[in-house]
Amino acid sequence: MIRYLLNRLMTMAFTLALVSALIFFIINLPPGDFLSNQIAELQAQGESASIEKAEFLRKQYSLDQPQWKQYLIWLGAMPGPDGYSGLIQGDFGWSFEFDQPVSEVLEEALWMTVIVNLAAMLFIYLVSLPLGTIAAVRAGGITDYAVAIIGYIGLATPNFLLALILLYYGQQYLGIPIGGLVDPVYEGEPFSWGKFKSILAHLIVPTIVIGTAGTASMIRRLRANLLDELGKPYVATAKAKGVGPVKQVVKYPLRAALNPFVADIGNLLPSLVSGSVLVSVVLSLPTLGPALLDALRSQDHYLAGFILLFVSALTLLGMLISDILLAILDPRIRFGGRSR
Amino acid sequence: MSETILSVSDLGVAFGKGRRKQEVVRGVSFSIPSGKTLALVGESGSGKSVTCRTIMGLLAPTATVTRGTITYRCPDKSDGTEDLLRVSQKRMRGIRGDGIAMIFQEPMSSLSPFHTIGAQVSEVLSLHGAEDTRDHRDRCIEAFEGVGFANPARTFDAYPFELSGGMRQRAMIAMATICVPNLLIADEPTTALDVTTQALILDLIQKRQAETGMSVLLVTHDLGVVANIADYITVMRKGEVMESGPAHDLLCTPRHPYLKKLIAAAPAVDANRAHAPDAASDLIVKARNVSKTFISRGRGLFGVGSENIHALRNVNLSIPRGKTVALVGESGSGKSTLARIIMRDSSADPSARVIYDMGDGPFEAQGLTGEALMQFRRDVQIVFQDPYSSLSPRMTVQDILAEPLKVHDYCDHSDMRARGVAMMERVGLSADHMTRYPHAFSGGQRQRIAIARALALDPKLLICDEPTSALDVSVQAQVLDLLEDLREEFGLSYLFISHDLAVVSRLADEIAVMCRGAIVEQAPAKTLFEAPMHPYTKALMAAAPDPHPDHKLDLNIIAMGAGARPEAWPEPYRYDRNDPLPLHEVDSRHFVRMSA
Repeated sequence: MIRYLLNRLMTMAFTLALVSALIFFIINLPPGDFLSNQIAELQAQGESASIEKAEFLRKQYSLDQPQWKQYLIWLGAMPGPDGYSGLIQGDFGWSFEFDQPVSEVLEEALWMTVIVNLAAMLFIYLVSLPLGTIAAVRAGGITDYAVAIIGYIGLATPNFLLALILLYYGQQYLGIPIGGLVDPVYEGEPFSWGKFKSILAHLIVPTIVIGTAGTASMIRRLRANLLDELGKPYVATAKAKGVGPVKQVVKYPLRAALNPFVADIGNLLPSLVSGSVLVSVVLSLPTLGPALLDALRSQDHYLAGFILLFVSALTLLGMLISDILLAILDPRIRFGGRSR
Repeated sequence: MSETILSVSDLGVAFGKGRRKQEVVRGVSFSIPSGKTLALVGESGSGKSVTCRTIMGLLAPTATVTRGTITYRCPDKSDGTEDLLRVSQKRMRGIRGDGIAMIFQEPMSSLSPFHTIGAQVSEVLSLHGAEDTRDHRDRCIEAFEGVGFANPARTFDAYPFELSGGMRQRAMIAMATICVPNLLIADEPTTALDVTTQALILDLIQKRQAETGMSVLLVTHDLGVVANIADYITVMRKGEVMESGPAHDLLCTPRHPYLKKLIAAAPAVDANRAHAPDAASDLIVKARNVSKTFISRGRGLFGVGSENIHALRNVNLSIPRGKTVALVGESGSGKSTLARIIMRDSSADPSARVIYDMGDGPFEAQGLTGEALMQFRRDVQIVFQDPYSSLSPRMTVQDILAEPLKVHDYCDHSDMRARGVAMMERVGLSADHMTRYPHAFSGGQRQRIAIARALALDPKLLICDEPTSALDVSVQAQVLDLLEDLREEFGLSYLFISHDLAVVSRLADEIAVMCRGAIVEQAPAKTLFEAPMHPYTKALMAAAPDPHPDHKLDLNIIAMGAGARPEAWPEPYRYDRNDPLPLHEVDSRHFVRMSA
C-alpha cells in the first residue's frame, strides 16, 4: 500500500510537469503577451515613462527570452533574472493585470473555489445516493419516473437561469443573501464563527445551482449500475438466506454499484470548476472561474497558467482520493489478485 | 412413502404481462419425501429453475404465479403445513435460509466479492440463530471443517476470489446447511465445476444429508449426477412434468420417449468408438519445449514477495495431419494456454518452438510477419467454449460470417453472401435466418454459427476449446457429430480441448492428459481408455458420472488422483510440485509421467 502510494505520487508529479508544459505553451499560442500589448498601447499614446517601466518588466519576467526558457524559468528549473524563483520554489509569478503577485491575487479565490466545489460535491453525493438507489429498486415505478423527470429538468435547465430563479425566491421567502460568498462586513476579516455562518448562508444557492447537473447525471449512472448489480446471482443468494429487503440492497449490490460512483470523484472536480464559470459570474462568486476568464482574455499568462495548473492538481488529487477509496471499498483491488 | 416435507401441486408460472404473457411452468406437481433426494431433470428452458425459485419466492418481478399451491410442512411447528405462495413476506424470510436453503449454479458469482466468506456465512446465523458473534465464528469454522476446508480459520477471513470454484461451492454448501435446513434446493450445483470436483461436491451433499436428515431437491440436466444421488426423479420438459417415479426404476426402465432420448444422449466413454490410428509422421504442427511462466505480483498490504507460476512446463505436443488430438484436464491445468500459444495468440517462454507444416515445408509460427502471418491466421482457426459471448450481439449472422472474408480480402464482395449461405447450410442451419442476430438462436445453433465462422476461411487446423461444455447433452451429441463430419469433408486437423473424457472419446485419435501445466499421460485414444495408468487419468475417468444407477461413482479412485496435487499421488507417480518426473514410454506411443 505504501509502495503503491509512493508510486502514485511519482506519476502524479510527472503528470503535473507534463500538464504544466502543455498549459504554458497553449496559453502562449496567441501572438503577443500582456506587456507587448500594453507597450503598443502606450506607444500609441506616446508615454515613454510607462514604456520604460513595461520594458523593464519584460526583462524582469524574461518575456524577451525564447519560450522554452520562459517555461523553465516559470517552473523554477532555470535561473531567471532573480535566480531560481518559480513554481517549484513556491513563487507563482506576477499578475500584470493586477500588478500583484499571483498568490496574492488568488489567495481568497483559491479557498472559495475549494469550499464551493467541496460543498457542491457533497451535495451531489448526498442527494444522488438515496435518489439513485430508490430509482433503481423501484425501476419502472412512479418513483423512478419522478426521479428521472427531476433529473432531466436538472440537466436541461441552464445553470445561470436556475441561479437567478433560486436567488430571487431564496431572498424573497427565506431571506437567503444575494451575491458573493460572504457578507461584506466580514470581507478581509480573519476567520471567525460569524464569518463561517455567513459563508454557509451564502453557499446554499451556489451549491444547489452548481450541483444540479452533476446530481442528475450521477443519479442516472448509479441507477444503471445498481440495476445491473441487482440482477447478479449473489443478490439471489442473499435473498435465499432470508436477508431483509433493505439490507438486501444496501449491503450487497449497492456496495458494488458504489465503485463507479467513487471513481467519478476525479472527473467531477474539473467539470465543476470549469462548469461553474457562468454561475460564478451571475452570482458574483469570487472563485477561480471568473478570474481565469479575465486572465485568459487579457493574456495575463502567469495568472491563467497558475489557475489551470491548480485545477489539474485538484483533478489529480481527486483521482488519487478515488483510487484510495476504491482500494478500501473493493478487496479485489486491495489484494491485487486477479478474480480468476 | 414416508412423510412429505414439501409438495408442489398444479403450479403455474408465467412471464410477461397482458397479451404477451407466456406460461413457462404449466401445472407442475411433485412432492419431496422427508430425508430423501428428488431430482428435477430437464434440458435448459424446461422450467426447472423457475420452479425452484418459485418455492424460494425468488422469482423475477416480471414473473407471476398463475395457479397452484406449494405446501411446506415445517417439522418444528406443530400446527402442520403452510402454503409458501400465500405466507407473509416476513414469514417467508424466516423460512429462507433456515427451513429451506438454496445453492446455485455459479459459485463464481453467487458470493459477494466485497465480503469475506466468514461474514457471508455468519450472516445466516445472525439472521436465524443466536446473537453472540464469537459463537458465530466458531460455528462457521466448524461448518467449514464439515465441508472439507483444510484451513477453516483462514477460510473465514478469505474473500471469494481467493478460492477456486469447487471451494466456493463448498462455502455455499456450508452457508446453506449451517442452520440445518429441512430442505436444501440445489440448482445445478455442479454444472460449472470439473468432473472430479463435481464428484466430491455430490459426495459432500450426500454426507451433509446423512448427518442432518435434510431433504434435497436437486435440479440438473445431467442424468449421471441423478443416478448417483437421487431417490426420486421428476422429468420436466417445456414447463410440464413428463414422468415421475423412483430413480432406479425410471433410469433402468424409462417409459416416456423423452426420458429414453435423454438417457441415450448422456455422454459416456465409449472405448470401442475410439480410434487406434497408425503412427503418423506427417505432422501439421509440432510444439516442442513449450513453457509459460507468469510472475505473480506480491500480495498483502506491502506487496512484497513475488512468485513464479508455471502455467506450462516443457510441453511437447504434435498433431498429425487430418487427425484429432485432445487435451484433457481440470480447469487451470494449462490446456487453453497451450492452445493459445500454438495458435500464436499468446507468447511462450523463449525456449519454445512451434513448428508448422501446412504441406509446403516447415516454418515457425513465432517468426511470421506480414502476408505470411495473415496466411497463417487463415489456416488456424478457433471455436470457443461459450457461444453466448463469442458472437457479437450487435452483428447479424450474415455480418459475422462475412467479417473474416472481408478482413482477409478472401473473395469478391458478391461471393461473400453465397459463401455465407453455403457455410450456414453446411452446419445445418437455414440460410433464411442469416439476417437475424445471435440472440434469436439457441446455444447449439450459436455454436454451429461459430463453427461456420471458423470454417469460412478454409482453415487447415481447427482449435476447439471446450466447444460443447456450455450445451445441453442432446445438443452436445449433435455438435460433436457435425465436427466429425466436417473433419472428413474438409480434411481438417483438430486440437480438441475438453475436461470431459466422454466427449473426447467421440472424436479423439490421441489424448494428452494435462495436470498443473504438464502432460501426465499421453496415448492413442483406444489405449488410454482401455488401459489408463496414471492415477489422475483414472480419477478423471472415474469421475464421469454414468446414468445407470448401479454404476455409482467410485470416490476412492477419484480422491486418489483428483485435486491436481502431484505430491499426494501414490508411488511411482508422486513428485514434488516444482520438480516433475520425466515422461516414460511404457508401451508403444503410450507415455506416462512416472519414475522408471
